[in-house]
Amino acid sequence: MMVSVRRTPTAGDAFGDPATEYLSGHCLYTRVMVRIGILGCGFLATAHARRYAGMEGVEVAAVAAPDEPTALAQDVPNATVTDDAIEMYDEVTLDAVDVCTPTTHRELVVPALERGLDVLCEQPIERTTADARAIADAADTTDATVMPGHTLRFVPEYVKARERLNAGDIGPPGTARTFRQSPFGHRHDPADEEQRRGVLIDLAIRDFDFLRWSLGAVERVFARRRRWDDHEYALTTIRFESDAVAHVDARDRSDLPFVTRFEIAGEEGLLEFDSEDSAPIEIDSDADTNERGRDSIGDRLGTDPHRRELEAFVGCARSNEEPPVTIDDGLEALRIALAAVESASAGRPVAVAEVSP
Amino acid sequence: MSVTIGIASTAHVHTGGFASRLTTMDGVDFVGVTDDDPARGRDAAREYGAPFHDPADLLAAVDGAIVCSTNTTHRGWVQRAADRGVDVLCEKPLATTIEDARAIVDACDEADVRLGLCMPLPFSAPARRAKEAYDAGKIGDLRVAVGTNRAWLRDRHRTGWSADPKRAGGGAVMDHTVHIVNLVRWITGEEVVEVNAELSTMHEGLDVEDVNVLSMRLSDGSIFTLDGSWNRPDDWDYWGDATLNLIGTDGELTVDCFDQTLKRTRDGTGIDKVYWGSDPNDGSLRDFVDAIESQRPPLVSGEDGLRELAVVLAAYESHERGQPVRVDY
Repeated sequence: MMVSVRRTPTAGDAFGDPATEYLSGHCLYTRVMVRIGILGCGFLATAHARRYAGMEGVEVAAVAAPDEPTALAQDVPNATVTDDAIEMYDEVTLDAVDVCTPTTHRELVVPALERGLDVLCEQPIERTTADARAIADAADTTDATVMPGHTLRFVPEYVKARERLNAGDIGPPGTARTFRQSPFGHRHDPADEEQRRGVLIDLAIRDFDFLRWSLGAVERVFARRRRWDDHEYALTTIRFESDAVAHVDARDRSDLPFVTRFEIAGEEGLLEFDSEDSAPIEIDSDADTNERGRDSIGDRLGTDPHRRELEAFVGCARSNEEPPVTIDDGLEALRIALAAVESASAGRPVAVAEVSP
Repeated sequence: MSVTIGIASTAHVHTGGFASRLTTMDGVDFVGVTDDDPARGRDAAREYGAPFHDPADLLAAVDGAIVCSTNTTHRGWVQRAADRGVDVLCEKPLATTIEDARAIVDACDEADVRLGLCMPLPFSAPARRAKEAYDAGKIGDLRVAVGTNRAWLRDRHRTGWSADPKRAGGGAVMDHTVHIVNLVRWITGEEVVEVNAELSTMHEGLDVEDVNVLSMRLSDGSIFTLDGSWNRPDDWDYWGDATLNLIGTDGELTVDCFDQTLKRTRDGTGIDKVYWGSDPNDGSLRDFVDAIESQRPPLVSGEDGLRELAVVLAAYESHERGQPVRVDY
């Protein structure tokens, strides 16, 4: 890890901001400026850049994307803008890199780790376990850490459900269901088209990670999928080593609203969430309003998961602690997703153990 | 002229509801109940305020019999009714083996009596609207179907036998697969051609599966999953659910058959839901009575029951073999 200003942190450095209290287990030090380089210029890169701008002790020092990221550059006026990630690593003083590109993570993440830069890497960490393993190996051989961007681990309703599950509120879990309908899933990477990964690896993987995080190791999956027009649906059943069973419903629909649901049923209770049922504030106005743009997940009345995720990452970059989401978590989520991809094409249940780690 | 109806066996939890509906139904002369366990039958008869008859006497006195026995004894009751020329409305599932189900269908064919299945969902008002919309092409060509039919487990404790493999023939798969499979078949006209099952038991002390998550393929290539688990907690606000989400090339429809409820809060009891929608069981009984009167087949036939049982048995086979199983009809 490279930190611009090295100093020994003291207890008085910890944030007192209630918004970051959940991180009390991690050390947060505000006065050490962390310089971040963002890779990518899409929705996620923009969402992250805007949040870094609001965080103390964080500076987006550079932005790199294959096409000059001019729109994103407006959000980070002081950043160096380049179309070459490696050039950015070598020529701008950085502490950490935030990889928001949809694909090709390995070739961006490994050189960053080799230069001692901590990395936040958008999920899935890679498209194959070999590529993901190369990232893990690179992380093993340096001081730098890589944190997979499994944002669901910072989405408050999911965090709370896991907390209550672990507190024993519903007894041992027996079944779980998740639902994710997203207009944001389109990637249409040619390699993915060829290998028919799509919705399982881009969308369902979020729930796969959440379920593994909450219900434990996955034994096998069975998946079916349908695609037509530019829509894709995947229905996956999961068997956990605990013998619990989950159903993961993932829908890539550019024309329908973002909806998430989940439930976990235990021997002594049930936890349920439906984003359609949560409407803590509704405003009906004839006055002109400014279009906020595509950032529904961020508008959470003080519980912004992107902000929480970035604070956790920056905190780890400062403290050199193990990130709350590890590279192994990212690798295991990828294995579940790839097992589901294989199941859908082979038409049989596929054990996660069949997917090389 | 009234149609005479009797209830054959009082083992099933629906028996009391059927008795009270039949007592007040126009055009029905509710003759009473019988049972091969006379003590249980007499207790039930007293409770319903209805006469108890010996099996032969009841069957001699009715046009139609509603078979409310345990799942594994449907065949015997249907055979007796058919031998007497009595039309039959049989509780679901039709039987617990294909052999028994085939024998039931054949017995009714040979005796030339009507055979219907107690499947309320095609009589659910929301489900009928869903079928109208589907038939009108509102969602285009079907691609994906996602159903749920979950329930309290406490229901199982109360009835006493539906979690007993000897009498029920299985657990949640046997109990909670047929309703939504029937609904999909009825609305879309497609058959289930392949089943992969993930079954498990989440409640301690249960001899059967209470986790029932099925992944199926339909005859038109659509994918179809069903969660028919007994996984609603005892203190959930309703007995369970019956939902179906159908996605097609031109749209989607979602039917939540029992989502017509009041939210009720009582101090000391907590929150629950009180159903105010029309009762689909009334529709099922009415259909049977009308079928007898107008000499037509009931809406849900024995053949439907046979096909839905085939899906159930394929699910168990899939569980045993650890792979998807083709459904043979």
